[in-house]
Amino acid sequence: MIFKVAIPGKVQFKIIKKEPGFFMAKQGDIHYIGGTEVLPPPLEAEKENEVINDLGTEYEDEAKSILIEHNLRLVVYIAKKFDNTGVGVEDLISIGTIGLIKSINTFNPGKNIKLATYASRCIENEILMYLRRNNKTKLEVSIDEPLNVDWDGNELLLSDILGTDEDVIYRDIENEVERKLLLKAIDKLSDREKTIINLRFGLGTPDGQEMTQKEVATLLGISQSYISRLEKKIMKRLKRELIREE
Amino acid sequence: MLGYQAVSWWVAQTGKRQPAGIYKVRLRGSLNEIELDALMDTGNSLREPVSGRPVSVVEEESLRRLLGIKIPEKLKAIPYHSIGRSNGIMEGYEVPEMIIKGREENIRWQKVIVGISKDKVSVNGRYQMILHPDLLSEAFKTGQK
Repeated sequence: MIFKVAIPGKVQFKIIKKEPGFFMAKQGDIHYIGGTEVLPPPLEAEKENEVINDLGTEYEDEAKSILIEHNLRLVVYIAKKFDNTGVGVEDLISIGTIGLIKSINTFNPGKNIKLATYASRCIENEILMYLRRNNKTKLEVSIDEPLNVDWDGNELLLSDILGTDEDVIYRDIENEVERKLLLKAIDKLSDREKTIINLRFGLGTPDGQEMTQKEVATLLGISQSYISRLEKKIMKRLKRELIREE
Repeated sequence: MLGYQAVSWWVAQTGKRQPAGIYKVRLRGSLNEIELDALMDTGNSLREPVSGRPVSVVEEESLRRLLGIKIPEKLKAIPYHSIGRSNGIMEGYEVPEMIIKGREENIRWQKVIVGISKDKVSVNGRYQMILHPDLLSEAFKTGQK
């Protein structure tokens, strides 16, 4: 922008603005950024229609901003209804705002529905979806999740305060996972194979009584050497199965 | 003529303002932190309308390096207007901690709101952030927001 004042016959005065926005002060740029102190009230129907008509035109960006701004009160109103769900109101408002933005992006003025009605549904929907997702994962906490951060950026992890040995926690979890995998693999055996394994290693009995090969052989009416061969085969299978599961 | 006088008055006024200070600011996210140069400018009066908290503006490029803050639950829609933009919505996020480095002591703020500017905030790259003046004012120092 060039600002020019000319006084005929006397002085020509010209200021050339070097950068967009404002006159440059001696010390540096000046940034004027103003905001609203409170949430703006909803638009009057007539004004709202005007703005809605700007959607899909070159004024779309500004129109969307205006619509978002003047419907924030609606978001707050709806968000407050979910105050008792254990999620903070501010977070609910953020989620609701995402719903509002989505509704404005997908609003079709041709359809016989008011923006406020459509937006309300989208806002509430967004919050409900969030609550559903949130509830599912609420009980799950990663043991490597930082609980607190100190000045140097060192994190305190849940795994640091559980157990005494460094790998006690991981060990127990790994053991449990391995157990589960093993049981799964055993389940894939044939009935007879399963019986043999269960008897030989005392699985499925309350006192874990392990039987010798001879005892199992007698029970099943086959020879001990056959049991031995079957057992070797089963072990190979289980091993393969476990490796595959990894 | 009148025009000339008005212009020269204006230029004199801007010259009288406090020199804009540039501060080193550290922003802490949930996964890492970044350090930026920030301009304290009284021309910034942005506030987050729901909570009323002051908003500082950071360039998108610089904020990208700060991980773990762009989470949906912390999104704030901040209506604003500035030169050449009469109606805008700025995308803002809550940042867990901000430390402003002062000459003698640092000022620490928890849960500050930061607005994202798609464009660079300084022409020559001298600073990447515009601080809200309230974050430096005495009256606000004792109250944490």
